Amino acid sequence: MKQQITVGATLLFSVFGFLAALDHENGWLLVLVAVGLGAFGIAVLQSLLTRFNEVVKANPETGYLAIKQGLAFFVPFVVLAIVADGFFEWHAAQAFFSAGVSALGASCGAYLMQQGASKVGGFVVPMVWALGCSAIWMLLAAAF
Amino acid sequence: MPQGCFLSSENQTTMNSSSNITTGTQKKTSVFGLVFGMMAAPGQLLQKSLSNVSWAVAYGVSGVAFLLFFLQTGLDMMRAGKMDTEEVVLLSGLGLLYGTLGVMMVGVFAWAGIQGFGKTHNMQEILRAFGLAYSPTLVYAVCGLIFNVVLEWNTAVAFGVTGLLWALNPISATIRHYCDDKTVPAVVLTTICGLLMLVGWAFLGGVL
Repeated sequence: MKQQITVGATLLFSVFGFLAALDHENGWLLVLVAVGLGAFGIAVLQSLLTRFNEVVKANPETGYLAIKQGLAFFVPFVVLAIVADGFFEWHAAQAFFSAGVSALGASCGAYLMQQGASKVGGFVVPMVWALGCSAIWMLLAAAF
Repeated sequence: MPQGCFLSSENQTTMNSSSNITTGTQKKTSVFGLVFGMMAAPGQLLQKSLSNVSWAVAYGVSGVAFLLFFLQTGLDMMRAGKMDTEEVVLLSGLGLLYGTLGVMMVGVFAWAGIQGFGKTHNMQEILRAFGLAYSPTLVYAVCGLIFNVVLEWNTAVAFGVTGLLWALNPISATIRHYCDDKTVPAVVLTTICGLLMLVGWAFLGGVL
């Protein structure tokens, strides 16, 4: 499960790396950064959930299932970003990434709340992670 | 505005002057409560029945959201010399039409898709949830219009498209709720609904 999620996250995040690379000189570096952020970000999210979410603390597998659901709801944003960039030539992948990562966090939180998690562990932690992830990607995309 | 406009005809009970919705069995929910509830925690709002929310409120949210979004698109184009005032007004009117009839059509498509995945639900409730799902678009559109008018920024993409994207979360929550939390149908239908709205905006905004 852990490997599947890591591979899924790196693939989905790398799409945004490719889209950002189209507008940047150091494009391939951005793809690598996106892949790294996908793998590292998901590890951080699981770690935060294990630390602050009582449901995941009791059963770490629940955390992976929640992240898996979150990643599934990240997919529509990836598809829309590809269509927007490829067909309409709107280079606004950052907006798609931010909204997508927030949807990832919200869907992950919704799953955990269904399992009986508290509002802090089930809603606040994934949303704070999403905000941080979005900000880091914005800074990295600007830096390269 | 008539007092009963926030309540559907089958559920009209009482309503106070601050546009709160009251039924015999449910707690009051203001329009602001619906908008911010749908934006922050759509799953929790959907746990309650939406049958007491009137069509006027549900499609007022999406209609005004798209009206303001298209108005910003028009203002951006007018600033670039591609549109005149009349065309901006026409585009805003199209936005209102798109935010009501267009959103309703996408809602009907989602309802049909949910039926296709073997879940039977009341179409009216799904359509109401779809109108309210554009609450984030409304909030972004209002903020964007302020920046557009006061600072003369081009905000159609920065605020408009962002608002449209943020609506995907309540939309996916709605579809997931009515698909009994099945992930695959919800992801497929959310993607198609998102594409329909994005392509529709691009077509009407003359981007194509």
